Amino acid sequence: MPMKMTIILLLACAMLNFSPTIHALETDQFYTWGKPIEDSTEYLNAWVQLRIQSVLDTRVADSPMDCEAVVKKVQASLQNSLYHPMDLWISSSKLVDRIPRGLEESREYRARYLMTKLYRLDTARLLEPSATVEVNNIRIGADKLAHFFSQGWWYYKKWKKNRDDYTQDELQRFLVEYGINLELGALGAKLTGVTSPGDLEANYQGFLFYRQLCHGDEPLLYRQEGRWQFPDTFDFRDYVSPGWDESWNPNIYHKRRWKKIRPAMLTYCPLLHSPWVKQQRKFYRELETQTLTAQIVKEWVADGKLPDPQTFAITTVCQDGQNQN
Amino acid sequence: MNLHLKALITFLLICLPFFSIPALADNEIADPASNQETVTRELALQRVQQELGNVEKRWYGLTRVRWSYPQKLSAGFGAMLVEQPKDADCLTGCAIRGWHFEVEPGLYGIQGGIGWGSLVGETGRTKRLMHIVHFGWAVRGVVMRTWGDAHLDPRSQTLAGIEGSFSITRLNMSVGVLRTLSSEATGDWVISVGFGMGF
Repeated sequence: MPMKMTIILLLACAMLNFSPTIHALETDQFYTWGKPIEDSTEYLNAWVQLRIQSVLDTRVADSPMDCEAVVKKVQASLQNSLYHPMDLWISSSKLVDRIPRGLEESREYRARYLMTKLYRLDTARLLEPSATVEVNNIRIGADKLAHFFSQGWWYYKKWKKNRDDYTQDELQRFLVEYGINLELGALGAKLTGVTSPGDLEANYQGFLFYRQLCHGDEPLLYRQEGRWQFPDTFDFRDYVSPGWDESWNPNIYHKRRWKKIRPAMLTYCPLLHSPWVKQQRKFYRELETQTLTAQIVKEWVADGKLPDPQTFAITTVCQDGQNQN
Repeated sequence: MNLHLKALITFLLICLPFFSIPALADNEIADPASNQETVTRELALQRVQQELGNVEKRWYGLTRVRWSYPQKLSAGFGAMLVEQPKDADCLTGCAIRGWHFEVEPGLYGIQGGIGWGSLVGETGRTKRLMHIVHFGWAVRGVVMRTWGDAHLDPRSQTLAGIEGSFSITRLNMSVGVLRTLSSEATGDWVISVGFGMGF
C-alpha cells in the first residue's frame, strides 16, 4: 500500500508538470486606454524564434525525425503547467513593455481592473490577471499568446485527426465549434464565468501557425544540411488582429459575474469618447475583417446557443448606463 | 580584330567591375525600410538572447503554514536554488524551478526535507521571498521527528520518507509516505497529510 501511494504521488507530480496549459487568466484592455505602451512585436517574435530554434538545435539536432515529430517537440517547449512560459517571460522581462508593469502598477491594476469587484475567492479573480502588451499597434492580453500556442495546438491535433473525414470548410467549422465548446467549459465559462471570442480568435490563429510548420507550399520548418531550421521571418503581425483585443471584441459574462463586472466596466465610459480611444477604435475598424470564428460565433448567437457578446460591449454598457441616468 | 574594338573590349573587361559596384550598392539600399526591419529584428533577437542567456544563481525563500498529520499545526521555512536571467525579477510574478530544502517545526514534531520543485509565484517588495505561490509542485525526501501528543506509538519517533506537495492559488496540499526508523514502533508506515498555504 505505501509503495502504491508513493507511485501514485510521483505520477501525480509528473502529470502536473506535463499537464496542458490552462488559460483562464483574465485580462482588461479597457484599463490601458489612453496609457502608452511601446510596441513589443519584435521582442515577442524574437522570443518565439529563439525558443523554437533552441529546441531544433538541442532536442532535435541530428535525429532523423520527420516534421510532425519535430512539431511535437517544439510544442512541448511552448507549454508549461498552469501558466504559459511566454506569459511568464513577459511578466518578468525588462524588454517587453506592458500594463501593468512593476509592483505599484500591478497593485493598482488589481484594485481597479474589470474583475476587481468579484468576490475575493472567485476563480476569475484568484488567478493572476494577464498584462496587456501591444503587437502591431493592437492591444492584447498576454494570455492570448498562450491561447495561440496551447489551444492552437489542440485545434491542430483535432485537424490532423479529422482531416480525412471532413471537407475543408466543414473541418474549419468543426475546429471553431470545438473551441467554442472549450470556452463554454473548463477553459472559460465553467471556471471563470467568462467566454471570450478573443480567445477563440487567438486559438484559430495558433492552429494556422502549427499547420504552417509542416504543411502548405512552403512549410515554416525546413531542413538545411540535415538540421531542422525555423525561419527568422516568423511574425506575430501575420496572426494578431483587433479581434484579440477584449475591449473591441467583447466577452460573454455569466449572469452572476456580470452583476459585479458591469459596474467596473461603467467606470471606463468617460474614456470612450476620448481622442485616444476614438482613434484606436477607428484604426481597429479599418483593420477588421470578418473572420470565420466571428462568423460562427454570430451563427451560434442567432441560434440561441450563445448569448450575444454585443450585450456586454462597452458601447452598449455605456449607452444603457446613460439611459438609466 | 580591329585594334579599336580590342581596346574597347579590354577596357570594358577591366573597368566593368568598377561600374557594377555602384549598381550593386544601389540594389542593396534599394529598400531602406526592409533593411531597417532586418536591423530592428536582429537587434531585438540579440537583446532577448542576452536577457535569457545572462543568467545567475539565486536563492528564493519559501514558506508554508499548514495543518497536518502527525505534526498538527506547523510552519515551514526554506529556500530554493534557481538559475534565472539576471534582468528578470519576480516582483509581480515569475516561474522558478530547482532544488530546495525546507525545515518545518510543528506542535507535535519537526520535519526537514530536500527535494525538487517548480513554482509560479511572486515576491512583492521582499524581492527574494516567494510569499505568494500561484501554482507549484514539489517532491521531497523528508525526515520527521515527532513528540508530544502525536498519535503515534511511541509518540516520539523518527520517520523518513517522501512527500509530494501541490500548491494552487496560495493553497497547499501535501501527502507523504514515511517509514519509522524506531525499532519499538508498532507500525512500519505512516501516511502524512497536510493542508495549508504556501509551498
